[in-house]
Amino acid sequence: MSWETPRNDDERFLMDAFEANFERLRAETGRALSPFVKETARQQVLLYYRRLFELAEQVEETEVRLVLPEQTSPAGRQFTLEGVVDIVEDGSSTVMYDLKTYLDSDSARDHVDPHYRQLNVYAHIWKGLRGRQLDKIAVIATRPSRPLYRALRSGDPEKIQPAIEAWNPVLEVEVDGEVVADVMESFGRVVDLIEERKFSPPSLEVLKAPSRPEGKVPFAQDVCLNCDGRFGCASYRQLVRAQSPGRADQALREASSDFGGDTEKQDWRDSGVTATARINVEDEGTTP
Amino acid sequence: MIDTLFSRVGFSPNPSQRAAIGHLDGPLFLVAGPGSGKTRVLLWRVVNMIVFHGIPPESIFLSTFTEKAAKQLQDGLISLLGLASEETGQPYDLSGMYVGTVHALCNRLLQDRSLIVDRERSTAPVVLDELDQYFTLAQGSFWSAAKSLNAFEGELPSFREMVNANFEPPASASRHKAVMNLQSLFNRLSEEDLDPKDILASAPDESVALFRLYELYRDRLGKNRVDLSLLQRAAYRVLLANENTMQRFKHVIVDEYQDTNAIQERIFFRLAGGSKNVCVVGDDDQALYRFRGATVENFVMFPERCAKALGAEPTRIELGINYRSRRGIVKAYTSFVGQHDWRRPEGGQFRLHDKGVSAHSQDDGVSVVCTAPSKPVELVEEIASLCRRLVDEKVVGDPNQIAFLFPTLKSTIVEKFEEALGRVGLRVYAPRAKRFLEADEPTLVVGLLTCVLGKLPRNDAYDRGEYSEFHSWLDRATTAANELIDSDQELRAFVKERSSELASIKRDYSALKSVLETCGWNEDDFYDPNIHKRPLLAAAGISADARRAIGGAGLEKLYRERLADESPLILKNIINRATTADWGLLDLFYRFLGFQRFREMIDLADGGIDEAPVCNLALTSQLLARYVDTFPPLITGQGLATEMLQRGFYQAFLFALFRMGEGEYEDAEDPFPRGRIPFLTIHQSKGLEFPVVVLGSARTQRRTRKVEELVRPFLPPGGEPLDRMPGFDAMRMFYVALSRAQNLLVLAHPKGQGQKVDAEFHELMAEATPIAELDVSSIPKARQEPDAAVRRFSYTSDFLAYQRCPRQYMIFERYGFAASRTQTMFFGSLVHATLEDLHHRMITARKAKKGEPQAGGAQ
Repeated sequence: MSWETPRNDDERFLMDAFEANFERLRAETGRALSPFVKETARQQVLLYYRRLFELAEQVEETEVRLVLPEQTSPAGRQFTLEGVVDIVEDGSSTVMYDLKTYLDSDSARDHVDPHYRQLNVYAHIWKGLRGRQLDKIAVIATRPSRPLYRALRSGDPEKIQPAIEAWNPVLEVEVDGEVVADVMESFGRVVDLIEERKFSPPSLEVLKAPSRPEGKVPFAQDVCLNCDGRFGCASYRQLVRAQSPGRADQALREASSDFGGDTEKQDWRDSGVTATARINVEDEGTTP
Repeated sequence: MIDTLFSRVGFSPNPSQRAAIGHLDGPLFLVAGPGSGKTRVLLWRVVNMIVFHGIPPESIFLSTFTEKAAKQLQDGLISLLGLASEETGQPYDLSGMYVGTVHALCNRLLQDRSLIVDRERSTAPVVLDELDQYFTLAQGSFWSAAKSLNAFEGELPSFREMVNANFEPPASASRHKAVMNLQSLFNRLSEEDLDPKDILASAPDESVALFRLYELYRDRLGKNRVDLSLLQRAAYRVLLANENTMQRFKHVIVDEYQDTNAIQERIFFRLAGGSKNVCVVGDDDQALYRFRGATVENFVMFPERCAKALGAEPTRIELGINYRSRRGIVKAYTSFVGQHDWRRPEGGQFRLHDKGVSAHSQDDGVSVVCTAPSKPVELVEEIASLCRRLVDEKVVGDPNQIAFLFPTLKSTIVEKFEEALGRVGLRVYAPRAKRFLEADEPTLVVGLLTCVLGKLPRNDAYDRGEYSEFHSWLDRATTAANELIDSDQELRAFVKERSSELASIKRDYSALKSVLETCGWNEDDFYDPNIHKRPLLAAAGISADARRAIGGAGLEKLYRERLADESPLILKNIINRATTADWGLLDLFYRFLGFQRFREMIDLADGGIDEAPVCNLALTSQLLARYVDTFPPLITGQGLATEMLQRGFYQAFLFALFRMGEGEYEDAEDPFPRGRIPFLTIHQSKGLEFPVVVLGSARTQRRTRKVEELVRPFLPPGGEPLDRMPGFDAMRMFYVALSRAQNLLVLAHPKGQGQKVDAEFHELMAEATPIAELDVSSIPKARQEPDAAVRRFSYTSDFLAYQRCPRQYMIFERYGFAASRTQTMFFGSLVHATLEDLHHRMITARKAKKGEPQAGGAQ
């Protein structure tokens, strides 16, 4: 059996809910996901359940919206800050979890500062609302980490099960109220930049540097390679040129003809085998 | 207590606003004129319920007209409730509250487990949107079934001609026209909740053949698929299933009630059946959507209809004071609407009058101006130079604060205005003036795609009318792309490389197919590596890519997985997988953005210089995503060799979009890019306001719609007379247009041969100040950033995303490009929503185990 085959009622429920949500979001937003990306989302949901079943069972409040209204940016714009978290009560303590679908825990572990800042702002809002201190705060990074990803790629259940068990998507950070004012100020600055349409890409230096302090993976690999916008991005193009002195044009050409590594190409092809079209072209006919 | 909150946000409600906010018991009829602070009143009314009357958010149902309005209300509520939390120390969680368009809420009702006790979620039907519905009705099999159902002897085209003869002339054999006609008729019938059998039983002889098609359509959809109209009907059926559904909500609030239809009215009354707390908000003078089945009588006759349905008379409150417009503008549109004859033969009027509409502004300066009566060529110049002055003298902060409104954008005057504005250096944004596809950006993108994919040859047999226009556009697109390719050798190399990849895929496909033939295998045979692998690998001349795909470990793995799942691979799968391009249409799109011309377009948006090209590119990406979602998503050898790809992409998809043209595919929710003057249809301007409004044309074609005539025999008596509908509709449309203006309303007064304005405008134009006499400096200056509605910023999807990369944020979050491989918000929302469902399930299970009462939330 494929590891993705639902094993119990919960998992069947999860797969149904996934499809229903997909349809609903598609109807509400008029957007969709390519079959390839949709499969990735489905896997995340299933992996979450398999690995964090016990935690999920203790969730007391889910998708709690935390709001900090009436904030003012440096340029005087009014805004509301918002975040969404899950709350777990395990009898003696209250824990806040922030689910991040774009993050994998191994790379996040190198650099917890942004999460530390974010979760402390959330904890601050929570305390203001509920009048209680949280005992723990943590990120759940649902994107598979490298070893797990490799195991999944193998398709071998013997490798996948231990990899899921070894996977630790929960990343705890310290509770500490000190950072809040500082974070809020930079948040306000970003609001101004967005409203003023300041959308220049990061500089070449940023692209070359590790995406997080102490990290090993450069920004270009971590962020740009996963971004469809890179081809039209001045900084990314500059980087490609700079990395291939003497054959810059050739390098750019190669970059735009690069459609992912072997595994990505495999996944892409496989997604076509399972995908079904909503429309039967044959029946659409060709008459006006 | 609520006054503390009012003062924190600086809101001092007038007496009727205050009364509306405070009225929570029993039905409420809120008659809200333009600019009367209706949204604010709705917001505060909900805050009042939740914060001061302890009403749980999950028992509130609030229906809006657009997704955008729903989002605005949510933003506002979140902000106000956040403030309230600071005062009361109580958290307020809105996630269980029903806020959204009727369609979204109906969808939610169908999945609401508190309504459907013993059914699984997966039984909720698949929803076809307008475009899906179009494709369903366009299918060849539908038409051949329709023809034989009616025992029609002739060919399909003459059958369609017969169908089209029931609708607006000229009758043609066009399949597209027939589909559009049926779509509007069927939706109307569904929204009246009419049963096909009942219709057929009472249909006049001459239209029986037509109504049989409705029955056929409904049968073909089956139980598991609904269009947007039938979605509402399905939700209504769920509500009728038991009495408890009437207790599900304590408050039902409906915005823009003048534009609701029959089935919606039934849904709302049913939902309010237990509590009687239904609040409807609207303005019959702003009813715009009859052509989508709206029934303005729902609003005009609300007191009577509500008394009948709920057994309770509503309280009527008028929100008449206009906070939007200067005094002269309010006077102008109030007196305009009185120029028409609204009398009912039996006494009374077809509109609500005495609504107490008056201006809050005391500013009596000139606010309504008109051109000299002149030829179109002259008056466009006069208005263009006025616009130039308004921009130069900073009466507006950006050209996008001047809106040009037209009854339709398909009119020659629209082009004349665009040219005249161009001559004074002002650019316009009019995505619907032409067909969207004909705009520069989508044309170029499609042109480049034709260079890679090849295009479908014209079929001489059909080469006329829209088919011919479509192919001419495709030709222009190819020409534009070739010119670009000639000037950019990198692009040329890229396009060449991709098309040679496709050629190789096609060769692989035919080589593999001939292996099947030689060995006498069938495409649908199960794949067995022991039998098939070796001969397929030995296919003559296949590419290394195809060999890897057949011989590699990837296939081995997929084979084992599928075997384990008891859905083994067939040979067709193997061939398709081996002859799949590594890229899809969206991948090409993003690669195109890397070439000079497109980079320039994107850079223009950075800093807000000109956002129009980027908005058009975003929309283009969404269309391509829609194609990928609806049609076979990957490019395969089979698709290429059978021309299925080309037929699907050009003939079925693009041609349909091309013919739908303006406004059919999207909602009017796109932003008004900075740096450009927006040209809008009056319908698009609904709910919006602009510092300066130019009414570009004051003339309408007044014709009764055939669909109304066809449906009339099945409706209860008492509707507006068919012959007076066109006049009423024209007046309401212009009323909306005139009332969009805040500081200055500009009218165009054409004169000369064939030039006319509707009679109701004569007095208004005669009394308006001539533009020549206007002192531009007397007009109040518009704010730099229009309407500072408090915006909501998410820590993750705004703040962190922007910090990670402002450019990525710009593309995917700000302008909403559809991603090919980038993870976007849709991805996150999908995972979050699904895990939320899981958590709810577990919470409920836990509570049930402990014997606790279940929460009355969404689950």
